[in-house]
Amino acid sequence: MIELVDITKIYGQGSNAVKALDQITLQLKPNEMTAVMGPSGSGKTTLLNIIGCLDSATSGEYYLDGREVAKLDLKAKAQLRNEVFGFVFQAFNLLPDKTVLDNVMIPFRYSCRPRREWKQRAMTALDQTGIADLADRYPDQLSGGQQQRVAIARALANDPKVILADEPTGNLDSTTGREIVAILKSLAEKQGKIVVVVTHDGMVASQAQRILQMMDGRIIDDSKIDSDSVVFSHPSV
Amino acid sequence: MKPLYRTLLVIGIAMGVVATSLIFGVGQVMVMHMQERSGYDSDVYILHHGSGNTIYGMPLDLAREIRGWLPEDITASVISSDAHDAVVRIDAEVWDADVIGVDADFPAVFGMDLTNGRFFTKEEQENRRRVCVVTSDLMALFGEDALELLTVNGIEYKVIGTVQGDAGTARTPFGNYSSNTIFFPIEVWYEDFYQGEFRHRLIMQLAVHSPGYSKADLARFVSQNLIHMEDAPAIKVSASNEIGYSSWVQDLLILTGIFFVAFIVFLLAGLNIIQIASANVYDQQRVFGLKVALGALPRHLAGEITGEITACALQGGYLGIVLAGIVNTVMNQRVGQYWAAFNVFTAIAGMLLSLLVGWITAIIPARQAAKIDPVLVLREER
Repeated sequence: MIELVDITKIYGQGSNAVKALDQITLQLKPNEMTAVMGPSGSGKTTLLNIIGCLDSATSGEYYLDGREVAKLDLKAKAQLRNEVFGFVFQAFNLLPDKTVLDNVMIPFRYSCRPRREWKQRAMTALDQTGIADLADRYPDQLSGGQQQRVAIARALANDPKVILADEPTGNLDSTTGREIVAILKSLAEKQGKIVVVVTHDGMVASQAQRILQMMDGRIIDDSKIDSDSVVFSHPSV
Repeated sequence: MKPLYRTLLVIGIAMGVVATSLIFGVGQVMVMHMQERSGYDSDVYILHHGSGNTIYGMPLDLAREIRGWLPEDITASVISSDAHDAVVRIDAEVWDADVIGVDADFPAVFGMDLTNGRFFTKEEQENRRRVCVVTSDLMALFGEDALELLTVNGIEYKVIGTVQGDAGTARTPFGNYSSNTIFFPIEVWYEDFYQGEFRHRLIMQLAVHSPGYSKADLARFVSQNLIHMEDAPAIKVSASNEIGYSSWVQDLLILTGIFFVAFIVFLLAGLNIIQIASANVYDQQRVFGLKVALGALPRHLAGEITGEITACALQGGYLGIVLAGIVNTVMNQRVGQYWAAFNVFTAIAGMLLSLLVGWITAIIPARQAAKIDPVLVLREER
């Protein structure tokens, strides 16, 4: 379980200081997909980065399964990013000179996992996202949706407890976006992962069990929803 | 690493190796000229196999062939090694004497005056006459004109002349010839002590008296013909009084000095390599940020960059050695004897230098990569 208590993040100093997060208190539980919404600059991505140990809070406390993350050293945080968190980005961030399989195996390079297991685990992750048959292709031979599936497979490679997705459908059409969201949702519901999705897209948020609305670094609304009863229209429609 | 940067790195390192190789070549030429300068007081040059420490020389037929490449107005004489199995008896006593074979031109090459009698003639040499010339010191042991005959391995030789015992200008593979030296016509020497096997590599030097010709001229005469001969040994040209000067310590010091200069030059080239590698890091910031997000530590990134640059260094080193070989071959055809400047040492030094510079130049880009903030580079839309 993830627990944030009064997390504040300030960028810069003195008169240039900008408060990106302002006393955020939050709990995230397994089996739950949480959508984080809000206007640009509201602190969504900063929140995601702090949860994923890519960034650290200026003040406040962050507990991951009861361990205080602030007390962990560089190596321990890197291990968390490798084993506990899986990141999915808007721009996919695949390495163009590597095959799909090689891209999915990248996290293994930084883990203690024996090399003989790499391929099998990567293929399992690709199978989960339905693109095992594309393992030998290169990213530029794939559609946007397929590339994002590869990125999700890479995030799943080490079987993390937490999936952090930053605008995962931002570069996709609505149909493909729905497919990606369905995969993320199933990861929460069927595999018991904590899934946090930063999005501007109401359609994406409508699939989440919980929506956090942020404004000026604060959570202004935290609501659990019944996705079957709420209908959002896609901004592009 | 992007293919463009990889290619630029490989080419950069290859050029560095070529430059280094040329420095080695030029360095060797400079050393040779320095040594040559010390030998300008003489028109006598020595064509020999390898360095002054060479154990094995060249066969007589090769020495004769080399002689054939030189102009007619050059006087030449081969000088054999000492015939170790020769047992010299004078008046029934066994003497510890150096038994060497030379050509009839030996005194002319070294400008030696005979103190008594004469040296053997070309005719005597060609007709395999069993004659010999001894040193004045050896003669003095028996009194003037007392020594007329001596036997070596049971064969009798007529003593026809005497040369000065301590001839300051005459050099053999052993330095100034000893006071107990006995000179035989080379063909007789081969026939009587080596069963006439002229292919034995027993000729230590081909000494030439070549007024009007420079050392470079001689080197050109030799190397232009040698490069067309397969399996030809390395034949070098040295001034008569530089043989034996260069000890291995001197060689090592000189080569270390050249290596150091080459390293500095290559390090300067390394600055360009750093620029390329740094540009690659800047261009790949997002990739490095991604890797951090996936669990990479700074040491992982440093290791990957070092590994990539090392691979480029190996490829560039290999390419550079091949190019240096070509450049040296072309240069040597133009210049003459300096083809020996490109050798195994140069190749190994080139590879070591490229690896060393690769590792050193990897430090800065690796540190740059380690400082990348994944939050910034992953957020930024590029």
